[in-house]
Amino acid sequence: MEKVTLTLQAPKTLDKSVQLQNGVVSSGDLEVVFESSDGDTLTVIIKSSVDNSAERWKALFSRIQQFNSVPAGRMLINDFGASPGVVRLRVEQVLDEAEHA
Amino acid sequence: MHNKESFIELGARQRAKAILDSGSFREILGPFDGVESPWLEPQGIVPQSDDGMVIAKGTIQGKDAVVVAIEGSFQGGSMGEVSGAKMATAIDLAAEDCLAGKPTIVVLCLETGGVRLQEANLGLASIADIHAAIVRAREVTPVIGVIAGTVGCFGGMSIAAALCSYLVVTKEARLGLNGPQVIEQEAGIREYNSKDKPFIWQMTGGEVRSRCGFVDKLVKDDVPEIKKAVEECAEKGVPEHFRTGCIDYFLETLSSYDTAEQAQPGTAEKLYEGGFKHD
Repeated sequence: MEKVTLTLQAPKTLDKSVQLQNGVVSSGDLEVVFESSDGDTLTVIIKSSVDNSAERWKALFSRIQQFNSVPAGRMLINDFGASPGVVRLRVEQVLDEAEHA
Repeated sequence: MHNKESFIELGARQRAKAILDSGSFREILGPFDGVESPWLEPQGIVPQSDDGMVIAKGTIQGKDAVVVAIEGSFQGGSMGEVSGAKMATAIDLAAEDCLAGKPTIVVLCLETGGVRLQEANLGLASIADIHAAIVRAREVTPVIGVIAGTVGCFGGMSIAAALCSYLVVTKEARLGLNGPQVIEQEAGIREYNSKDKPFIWQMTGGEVRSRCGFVDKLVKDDVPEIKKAVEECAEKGVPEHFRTGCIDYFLETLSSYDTAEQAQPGTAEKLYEGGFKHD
């Protein structure tokens, strides 16, 4: 098991505070828990069952940032070996819900 | 074509929402309270923000209720220190509310293999707490167990299921003390093949459990139907007799069975024919 912390620049602050949860830690899946806050960074704390995956997480979030403007806050990810496609889907679901909360 | 709304496909949180009146769902100790298992991470296992246990207050047909739903896909729905304490305390507090003049219906969505082996004794202790809490609560309020599947309900939690005032199952559900793989390991594959699905469901599935009188309602995997079954059980209130109160009947029946004879699908149905009924 590995713990990875990423700090991303968050260009936008949400109008109201939101708390969102998505997904279940089951085989090949993960849960994303997001809480918005003031400030200009998004802290992503990842606990993953896959070791030596820090570079992959970094690459994945830089990809996500290319297509989304991420909100300020804290995001916890509990990952049980989800594929990059599933990770991106879950994270983007949360970002989308945050946008329209 | 499927036009039903599957309950089995729902996660624990969605199941709790489905059972409670629309819009009444209010979660206690949810994902944002940061109460996870402290034992999994040191053992290299990814924890979950709610430890696989959803506690929700709300109403059922306008009456106060608490729904405790186990997330079957997190660590097999196993009972750890935190998840077990959440369930036991929720049932206990509901009983206290009832005694304080605030009737609260208890619904347990059981989807579990029993104790979480990584938390060993703490998990077992929490299961004992759950049993004690159910026994206390069922005297003052209906405690309704729902086993939808497909994990089923095994180990110490199968005892919790049997202690409930009422039990609702689907035919996809399974209920048994030992899980199929455990029996196969202990008794041998020739006696009990855990990969033989039709055989396993004939021995421990919802249908046969219903025919033996071990459960009160056999329903389809359909949200409105399960919701209705829970509401009907809630309306019945505290039953006059509990299944686990009929010790004499069960002991007599069990001791009348000749164990030299290999149990087959159908054996249990014959043995328990005309078994326990609430009415």
